[in-house]
Amino acid sequence: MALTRLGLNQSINLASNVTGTLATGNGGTGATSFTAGITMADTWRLTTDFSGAADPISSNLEQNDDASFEDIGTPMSVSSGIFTFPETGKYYITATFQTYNPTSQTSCDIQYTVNNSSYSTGANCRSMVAATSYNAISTSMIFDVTSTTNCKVKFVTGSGGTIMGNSGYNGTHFQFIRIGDT
Amino acid sequence: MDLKTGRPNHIEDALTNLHTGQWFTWTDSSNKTYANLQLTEKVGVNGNLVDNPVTELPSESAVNAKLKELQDAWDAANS
Repeated sequence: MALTRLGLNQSINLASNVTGTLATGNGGTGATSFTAGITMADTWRLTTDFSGAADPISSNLEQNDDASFEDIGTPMSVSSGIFTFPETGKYYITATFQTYNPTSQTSCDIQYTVNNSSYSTGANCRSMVAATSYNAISTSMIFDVTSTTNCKVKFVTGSGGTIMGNSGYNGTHFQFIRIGDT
Repeated sequence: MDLKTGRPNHIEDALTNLHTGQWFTWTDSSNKTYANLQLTEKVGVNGNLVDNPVTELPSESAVNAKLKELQDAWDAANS
């Protein structure tokens, strides 16, 4: 089929010039409509350093409050280190841990539950470097959140060096992006 | 600590070396001074929230002494 490039200020009249069924695109499910891509994105971070283990990281957490940041959709909620999702769906979760002086192994997890009770490790990363050195480690997982009541996540660190937090920028931080329906 | 050299220079450097875990917090996390330091009520241990085992804030002089101790150790190792 020959294609003709549209000129400046020209457009296609979909109502009268298109026949048949439009192909689905950009996640759309209808013939003539499109659904939004990302409907939820959020960032939380640790504001304060601590050393050693925390299961879960339960305090000194804040939603990103930088002027550059604005969440998309309904944000995550957190209580005592347990993060609850605003709606069901498939979520891409990343966790970045900034560490200092992890001369012994520092293990960091994203842990999830599907029954609001027992947790499993969904993703792990580890750090061990020379004394007085910095390191940043990151891990991620896709979580099929089929129930906002039962499906939750927490972030856990094993013993080792210092986990660094800051209220002015994303040092140790966690991101949640809803990428699709469950 | 100094982000370029790693030399301890911040109150949190001392606090994280006095006890492990999330035992402290701030009344204002953008102004981390001794006056704003306070204990957390609970800490996460093995999946449970338990009472903070640290029940008393260290004195300001103890915090300053710990920071100096860390700085002296760093200086000795890097001189």
